Amino acid sequence: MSDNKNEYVLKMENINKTFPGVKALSGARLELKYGEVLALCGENGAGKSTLMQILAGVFPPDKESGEIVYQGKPVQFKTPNEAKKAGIIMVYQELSLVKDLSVAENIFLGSLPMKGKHVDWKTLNQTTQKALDELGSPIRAQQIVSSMPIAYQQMVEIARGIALGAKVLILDEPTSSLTEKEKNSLFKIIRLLKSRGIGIIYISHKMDEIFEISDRVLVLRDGQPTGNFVTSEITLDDVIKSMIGRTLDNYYPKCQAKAGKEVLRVEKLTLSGIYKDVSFSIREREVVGFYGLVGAGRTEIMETLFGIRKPDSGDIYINGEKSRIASSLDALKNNMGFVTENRRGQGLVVDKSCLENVSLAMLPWIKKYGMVDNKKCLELYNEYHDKLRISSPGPEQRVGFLSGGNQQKVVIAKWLALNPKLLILDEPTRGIDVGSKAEIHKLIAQLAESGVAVIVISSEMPEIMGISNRIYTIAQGQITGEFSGLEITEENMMRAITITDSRKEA
Amino acid sequence: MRAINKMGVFLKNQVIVLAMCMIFILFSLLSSSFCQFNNAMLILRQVATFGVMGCGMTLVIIGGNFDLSVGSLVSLCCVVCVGLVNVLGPLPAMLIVLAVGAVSGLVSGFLVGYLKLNSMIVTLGMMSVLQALTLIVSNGKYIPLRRVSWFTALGQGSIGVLPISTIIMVVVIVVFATALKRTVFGHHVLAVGSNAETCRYSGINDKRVILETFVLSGISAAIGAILLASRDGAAQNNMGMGFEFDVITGVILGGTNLMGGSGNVYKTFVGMLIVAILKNGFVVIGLPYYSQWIAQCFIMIVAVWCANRAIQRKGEIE
Repeated sequence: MSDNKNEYVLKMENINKTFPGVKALSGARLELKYGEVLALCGENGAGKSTLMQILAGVFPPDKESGEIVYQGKPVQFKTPNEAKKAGIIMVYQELSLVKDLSVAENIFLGSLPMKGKHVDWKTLNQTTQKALDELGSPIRAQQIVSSMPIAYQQMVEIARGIALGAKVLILDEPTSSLTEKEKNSLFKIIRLLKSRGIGIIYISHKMDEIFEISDRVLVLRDGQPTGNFVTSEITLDDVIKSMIGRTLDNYYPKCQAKAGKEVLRVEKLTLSGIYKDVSFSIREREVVGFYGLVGAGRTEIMETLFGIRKPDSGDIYINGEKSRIASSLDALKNNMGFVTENRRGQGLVVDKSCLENVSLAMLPWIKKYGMVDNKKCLELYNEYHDKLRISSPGPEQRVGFLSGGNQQKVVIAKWLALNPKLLILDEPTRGIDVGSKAEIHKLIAQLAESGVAVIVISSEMPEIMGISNRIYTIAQGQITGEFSGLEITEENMMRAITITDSRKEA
Repeated sequence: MRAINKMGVFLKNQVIVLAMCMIFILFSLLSSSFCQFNNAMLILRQVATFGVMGCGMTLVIIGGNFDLSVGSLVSLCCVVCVGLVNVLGPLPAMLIVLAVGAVSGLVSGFLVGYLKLNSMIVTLGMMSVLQALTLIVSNGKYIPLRRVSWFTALGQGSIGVLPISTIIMVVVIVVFATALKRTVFGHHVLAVGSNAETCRYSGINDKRVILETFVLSGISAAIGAILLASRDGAAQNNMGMGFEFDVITGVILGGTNLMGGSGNVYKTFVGMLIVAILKNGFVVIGLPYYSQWIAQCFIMIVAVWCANRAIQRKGEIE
């Protein structure tokens, strides 16, 4: 490698950015060496994205800012394309591939190798395959992107960055939709790129990943750098402290109440091809965790409980009575609430105000002479605004403008307004900042203690272990284990979510 | 400073009213016979049918769909209405016409809402079906009103200076506007138009909401047809031809989001007034009939372009 390992590939100094009414960044700085993984942390709204967008040329910094030095030269990219050409590649959470084209076409989009007036398919596919093989990926160059899982699509996106000659690769929450195994292969690629001298900026909320993969950690809070650590010299608490300016004692509060009578029982629920013979129960004042890999059928089971999907067979008992739930309205009438995994797609109406979102599911119950009772809606909003500490400029604020954590609180408020007896939360803390995460964990414990039965689905093992009183493990559409108390150990759960195949053989 | 800002927001929200005033002034300058009391009353009578139809169309478009069948539905309803008034008398005839409108909306609404078919295609098909039904019912003949009754007063009579049809239109508009803004149904339409998936998870029957918007569109077209038949005192096969175009133009001018999720019935009415003023103005200044079509298409494109720019600007802020 010609690049000196101890030289900086990128230096950003004293970066300021003011948006109308908000100072997004003040005095932010960032240094990245060749072949280094720098983790960028901070709560949502701390300025991580803004800093990265300035680097990638999406918008310029304020005039009184310092310099951006890239490969020894001061630069100021005016468009994302300029930055890309110079070798600064950003891989966003929402992937930007053309889904109907092949992997090879995507990687060389805009610069396809030509033979006269025609595309030179042979060279194209061969070059691509070589690049993919070098990354150790099993992807074939001619595969159509839309036919591949998200993890592979992400690999393609990274491969495209490499093909473009990336010197700096920015990964924004790259593991948010990956399974454990996929995450490991991503990390393998990151290590490979590192050894080739590529500087990597890794944005994530997941602390265990940051400690696993990064060399240094840069923490932003309210647009200012509050921590710049060498990863091996610090602990989780150091990072969290500088992110939120306080220590989070009792990171995972658990519901301490004694479970009451049964609220829901499911027997032999089956939906062919998705899940099979699912039986479980939950009582009031209890937090029950569902742990399993993405795609194990967790969400689908909950969607069935909520009337979104129809099971082929099996029974659902609510308060001991056999019930039929054919739509979400039936679920609502049975005092159930469902905080979905896909917040923007299924949880919120992002174009509408906080007020409207909070009262969305409640409307039929708070009408007066057939009209919506606006006063009651506002009361509801104010009540939950205070209770959940939703930080929003006002009830009329469009939900789409809020940070992820606050959006999630609005979704939760929508369901709490109904006074649910059973609340299902599917990945309730995905993509939200540490502060809001802790608040949501606390809220779950409080809810359960107040008598609600709470079901939580999560892919994060520490989270599910920390907050659940009882845990069901799911693998390939089947419940493979039930753990409570001291049985809840990482080892037990890991084993339970990987055993289906052997069990079937037995 | 704050006051100026508020003023700016107000003007931005009322830009459509300003546009209407400017068009009115423009025609007044171009022709001395435009700005006359009688002509103004004529415009009001002409706009009645469209004003009513725009109410239903606004709901359909807010729900994220289009209803292209309303023009043909007006033809069918006119023919049925006049034919039945001759046989059964006004009241039963009108009730049956309303039912015809509702059933037509029910069919489109079922296909779009429950079977998830594309609304353009469904209502384009309905347009042909309704046109064919019109010809079958009327036997292709012109049907004059034979019985003298209070029926003609709906479209021709006045209370004081105000045409009765205008009063009916205002009542319909107020009812629809209130329904949209204040009722649970209205809130559901706005929410489903923005994000049907979230609604489906929040205890709202999104399919049914969509169906209901189409039924209301059918009913509002039927009311429009009653006013039109009463005004003309006769019915023809092609009476509503091209109405869907006028109505959709008006709704777009009124600022309803073509992707669904937001819109305002009162502003739709202003949009309809603009369309009516333009059509009337074109005649008054002597623009040839077919050129009017071209002019109107041009206006619709400009309106869509403006709407797109407004949406893009919103996106930039986000």
